[in-house]
Amino acid sequence: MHEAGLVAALAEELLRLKEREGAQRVLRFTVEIGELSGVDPEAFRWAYEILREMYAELKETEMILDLVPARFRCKICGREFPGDYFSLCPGCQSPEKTLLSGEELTLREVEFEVADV
Amino acid sequence: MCESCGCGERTLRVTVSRGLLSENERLARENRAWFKRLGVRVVNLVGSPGAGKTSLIEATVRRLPECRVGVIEGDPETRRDAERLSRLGIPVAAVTTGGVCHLDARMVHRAFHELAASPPELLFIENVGNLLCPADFDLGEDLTVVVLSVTEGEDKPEKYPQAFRRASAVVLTKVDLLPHVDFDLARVAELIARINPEARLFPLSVRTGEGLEPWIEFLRA
Repeated sequence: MHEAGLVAALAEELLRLKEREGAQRVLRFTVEIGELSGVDPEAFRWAYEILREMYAELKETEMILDLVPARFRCKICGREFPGDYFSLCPGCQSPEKTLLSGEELTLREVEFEVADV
Repeated sequence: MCESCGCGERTLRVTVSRGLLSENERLARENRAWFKRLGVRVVNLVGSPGAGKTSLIEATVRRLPECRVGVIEGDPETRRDAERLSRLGIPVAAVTTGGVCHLDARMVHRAFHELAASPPELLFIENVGNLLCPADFDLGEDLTVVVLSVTEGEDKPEKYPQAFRRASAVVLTKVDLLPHVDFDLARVAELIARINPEARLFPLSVRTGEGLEPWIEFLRA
């Protein structure tokens, strides 16, 4: 996967937001990674650790990963269930389902340190 | 306010909820609008190295003499495939990604500048040979087509579901080799239907010409 490219885009976004908020530092941020997003959380964290060395402004910044489980809703009987793309509805065995969560790859929240004015 | 030391700093929490791929998605929307304005139908071909993407383009171009076809050819290194396609006498823009594992909307935008002066009616984007990464990157195409050869093994839809998830069609290539490999066509069709019930399936062989007609009709439609 291209975790390195993703964290590079993430770093740019964090610095852009820091600028926008007029903040002194980025303290921590939360990224949601869906179980079906194709991103490996360990590779993502590793890529971030390397990238952090290249950005002086992010050296102290903590990344929180929020892993989002995959959930589906059956199109036939409406039952909600965990699973993957191949799962059948545990209620009626139908393969037809809508994905409710699990493909997230989202920067959800950022905490900054700002000077009090 | 920092409670403990009174240093005059405080913490600000901002909810962002921005997708990590949102910049690519924005550029892909721009590409899509551009293609639409010029009347270009765009097909993004995704598949492993050696699945037969370039051969499929060659065979398709030969069977669509009435259609102006262009190609954006992505390769991590070398322009070999682009040169091979140029021999068909069609416009080809090569993108050498320098080792990057997928094409993104920006690369496609840059490459399309080479073709936009005399835009093709049908544009193939041959993605970098890889069944994993290209799935995440919208290029602004109308159709995403997965190219899977029967020699790759029937477990690919299970191993790489993301690639199949948003595909409009799956082309199963090299079916002339089916007698020699363990590849259960019906089983693979069922797996693909589980991931993506809407995907059309085109088993074909570029070598024998078997199954090419339905694929060509699909592109004409």
